[in-house]
Amino acid sequence: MQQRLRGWAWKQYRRSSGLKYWFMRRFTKAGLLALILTVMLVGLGADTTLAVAYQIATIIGGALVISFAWTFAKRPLFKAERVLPRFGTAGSPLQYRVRITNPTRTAQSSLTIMEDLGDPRPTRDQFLNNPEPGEQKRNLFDRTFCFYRWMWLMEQNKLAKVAEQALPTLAPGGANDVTLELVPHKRGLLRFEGLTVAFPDPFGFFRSFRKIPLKQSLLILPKRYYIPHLAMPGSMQYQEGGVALASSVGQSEEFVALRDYRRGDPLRHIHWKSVSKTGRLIVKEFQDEFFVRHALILDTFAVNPRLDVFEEAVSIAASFACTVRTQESLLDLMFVGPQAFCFTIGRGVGHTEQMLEILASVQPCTNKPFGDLENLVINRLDEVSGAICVFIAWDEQRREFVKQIRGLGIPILVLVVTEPNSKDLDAGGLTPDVFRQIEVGKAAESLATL
Amino acid sequence: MNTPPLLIAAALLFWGWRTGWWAIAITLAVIFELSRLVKFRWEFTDKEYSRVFDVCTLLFGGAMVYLRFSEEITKSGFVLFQWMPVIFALSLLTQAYGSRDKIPYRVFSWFARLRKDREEPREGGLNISWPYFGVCLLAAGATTDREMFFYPIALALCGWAAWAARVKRYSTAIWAGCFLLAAAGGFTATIGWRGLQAALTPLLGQAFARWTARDFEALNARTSMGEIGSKKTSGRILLRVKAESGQVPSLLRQASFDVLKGISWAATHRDFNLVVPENDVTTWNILPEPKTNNSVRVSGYVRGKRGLLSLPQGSGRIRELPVGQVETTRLGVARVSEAPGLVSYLADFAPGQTFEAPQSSFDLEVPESEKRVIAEIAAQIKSQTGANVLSQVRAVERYFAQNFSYSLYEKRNPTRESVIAHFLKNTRTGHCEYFASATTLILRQLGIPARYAVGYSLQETKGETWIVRERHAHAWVLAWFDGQWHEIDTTPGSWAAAEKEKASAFEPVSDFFSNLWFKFSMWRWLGQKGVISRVAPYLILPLVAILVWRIFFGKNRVRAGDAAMENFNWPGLDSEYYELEARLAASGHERQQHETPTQFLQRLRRDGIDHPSLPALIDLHYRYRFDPRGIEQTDRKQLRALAAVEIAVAKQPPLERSRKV
Repeated sequence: MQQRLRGWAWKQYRRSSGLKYWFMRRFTKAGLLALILTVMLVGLGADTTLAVAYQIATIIGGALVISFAWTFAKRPLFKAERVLPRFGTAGSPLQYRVRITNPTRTAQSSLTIMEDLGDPRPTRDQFLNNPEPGEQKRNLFDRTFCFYRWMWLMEQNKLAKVAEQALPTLAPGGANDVTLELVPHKRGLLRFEGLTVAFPDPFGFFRSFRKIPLKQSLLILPKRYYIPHLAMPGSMQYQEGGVALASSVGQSEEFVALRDYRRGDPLRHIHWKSVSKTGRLIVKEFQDEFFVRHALILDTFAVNPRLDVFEEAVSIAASFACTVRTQESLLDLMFVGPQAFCFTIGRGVGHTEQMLEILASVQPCTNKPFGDLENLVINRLDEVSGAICVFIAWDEQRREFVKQIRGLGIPILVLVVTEPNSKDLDAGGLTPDVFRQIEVGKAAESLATL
Repeated sequence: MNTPPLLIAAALLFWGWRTGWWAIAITLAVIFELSRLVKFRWEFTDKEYSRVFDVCTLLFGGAMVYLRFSEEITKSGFVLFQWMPVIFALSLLTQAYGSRDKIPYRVFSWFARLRKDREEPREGGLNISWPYFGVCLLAAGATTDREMFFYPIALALCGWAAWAARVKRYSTAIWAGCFLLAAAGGFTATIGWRGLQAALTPLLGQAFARWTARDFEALNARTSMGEIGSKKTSGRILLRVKAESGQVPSLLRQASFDVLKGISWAATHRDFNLVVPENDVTTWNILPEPKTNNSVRVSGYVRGKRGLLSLPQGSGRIRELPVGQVETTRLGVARVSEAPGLVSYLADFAPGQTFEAPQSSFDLEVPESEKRVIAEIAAQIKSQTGANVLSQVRAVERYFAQNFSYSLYEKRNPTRESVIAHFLKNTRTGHCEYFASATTLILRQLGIPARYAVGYSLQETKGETWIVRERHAHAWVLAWFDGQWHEIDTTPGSWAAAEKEKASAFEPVSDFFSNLWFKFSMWRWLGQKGVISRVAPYLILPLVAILVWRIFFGKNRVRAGDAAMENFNWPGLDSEYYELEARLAASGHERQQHETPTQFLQRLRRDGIDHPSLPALIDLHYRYRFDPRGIEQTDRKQLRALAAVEIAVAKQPPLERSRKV
């Protein structure tokens, strides 16, 4: 019953939201004022014997009708070209250029340009299956009709906002540049559907639109915080294969030299091609190298993921990715997405941008156990000097995982992201310089004190 | 964009002309337009803008309350609209004399003010001079008189505003065409609107009358005869009656009917006639020369500004009735409209006079379905009394008193007979509607014209006041003999006791609150509030004065655009090059923010637009603008001359220009 009511509510929200969008886009401020004034004047002058307001209502109403009729007039199609930067960052406004070409023989003025970033209205499935954070605390009516859920999902679906911009006068056959400002709200891949040019009517009440299809996309990197210089404890570790193989341990076929097999050599180092040629066991030999290597472990597992907690965790991971001095050390980003994933940067291997690109696309993992991350990390611990764990929960499994890493003598920094105003967590014997609880919205302050 | 000079002043004068408040309109118009001449401005904070808007909102709310309680009862809504330009003037003047062109959006919403996390850019906000212009139009439109010049002046004002806000994309001819079309359409719609109302009013009038007459309906009365079970009665007090002089009537009538259809009574005379008030506007002579031997004060609530008056038989005049309109029908119904929520009127009455029409053929009709039983009883009565009318009437009264009893409970009618026949032949018990209906028909069968009347019976006193409750609603008969209408009530006298038995145990409690509400209503609608009405507006004045003092004089004034750098006289800002740039931008060749004038020139060349003297002009402009030593007079003249040539070329249409170049 409740689901049916919610389904009905979804339909109503969708309709009313569409209507509001139509009104706010189509009517100018002057048009809205004229419309409101007309409605009030009609109400006031409905009985012509009591007030003469109906006479003014007919004048303004007449102008509104003509404005509306004007939308059926022919509108020219412009050509457009959008010059986007490579990346944007969530929360930081960015500017980009759009070149508009007027192919007509007349100058075009008083036009406005808008970006189409897709419909942010949640789908029925999204609306029914994604409760708003803290929804259980709302009253029965709000829980049934989920208006706040709708508002929250609308916010979630709006990846970015681009303010509309007035176009400069376009000469016949000429082109002009216009700078648009985009404010990305969230990380991820932002898709541009096209541009819309708005044409006003002679009274400036109502606008008609002409769409210019122009599909493009822009990667929005996670929001990042300032982290003071981090002196990660930990000694240099032997790095098999050196820097060149640091990012592809165990998977690359590159090697430094070949030599005969010695007892104790790992079987995965056997070079089978040489074995078949020589008939002896030949193994790949790697240049011995020692340097510091840190693991950045991002927890993507949650039974009921709180999106804001997860987003904050990603932002914290991105902040570390930018902060760790990768000229001197290596940094492994480890997390579980559709598969277990490890990406290395530092000492000339990979770039911070690449790691941020990966972090821009990471999604919560709901169909795999935490054990997958454990396996991924434990297999690589012998090369790692220290580990930074960014968790989105603090349960027995994670405590055990931290205990296991510490048991191997690897220094660790544990950061647990929690909801705002949540209770203090039990650190399980970890000292404050190793364990930090970070509330959503207070990450900047917490990280600055590291 | 701001309103053009004098538009708001014109709108205010238009409003002043319509309302007659010339002094206020002229004062406001002068103060507002002076802001364009005066150079100083006040630097208001968001909080101060909010405070001013809150005061305006409070004034609006206060005006609403004041109008509800003042004498302007019937048109309080329209008066409120008429006051709006005064109420919101403070907000307008704050914007006009403030350093910001717009008032921040959050000022207008309490919710937005609470959301401090969302910062509003300083340049954002609402320019309230446009909404204020709309308010002036609304206020002028809230007046009644149709004047010949109203439409043309309103049209001129709207046209002025529309011209100021027009989109420059279109030529003047296109704009003027559209506006004329809108004006013509508007004028046609005005005439159509009036015509439609004239056509619909008679049709809708009846429907509205049915909705609004909440007491006994004036033209139809459906009885509850034949409804099985116990009748529900309420002890709610409806009327308070007090004798002012002479005797107190036993019945107060609201309506009478002459045709029985099934179980409903209806009136054949359905037209209402207006009663012309006397000079004091509260006295209404229903009869031309009324006799006023007795006088009774009736106080009761009126809902929806319309209702029926409860009057004693023989009423000829109503006094102290402050309503917009009184209408009567030929069947003795008096209806009021545009009435306050409570009326307390004096009804002057005298025996022998009446404002309802004399008997007609309808007053002798007995429906075919009832004829057999009624004829039987009438014959029986006639055989006992003979032809004397008065003795026949007394015999009918005796007939019901001796053979019938009163009951509020009704059993199912197992026979196929009508409810009246079943009552007369079988049950011989029922409530007042049975007795009144049956008596009316028997009298008619005996040849005595009779009507069915509804109203209230006076049974209960409290001190000198008679209390009329909902359960005292009653039906009786009007019989015509001796040249006038007489009230005949055949319902057994036990009905009062039977109804009283049904009274709730909590009736004293509800009476207590009912009395409190009645006293408050008397004060609200009819009490002596002259002092409050007169003093209230002046109480607001000091409050507004304190606010104005705190906001306008509690801080330093600044000059318009007072930022030190804005006033600094940069050399070369008067260079004619800027005019040329504006001309080029208007023709679609705008210099981009990142382009220097030289780069701009190169781009123009690439686009095929070559101005041969432009390099020399830009060179001179650079020197004039940035050379610390300035330029010679001759160079200055040359800069002017070169710019004039280029501007002349830029003004020409594109094709002509390309030929020339």
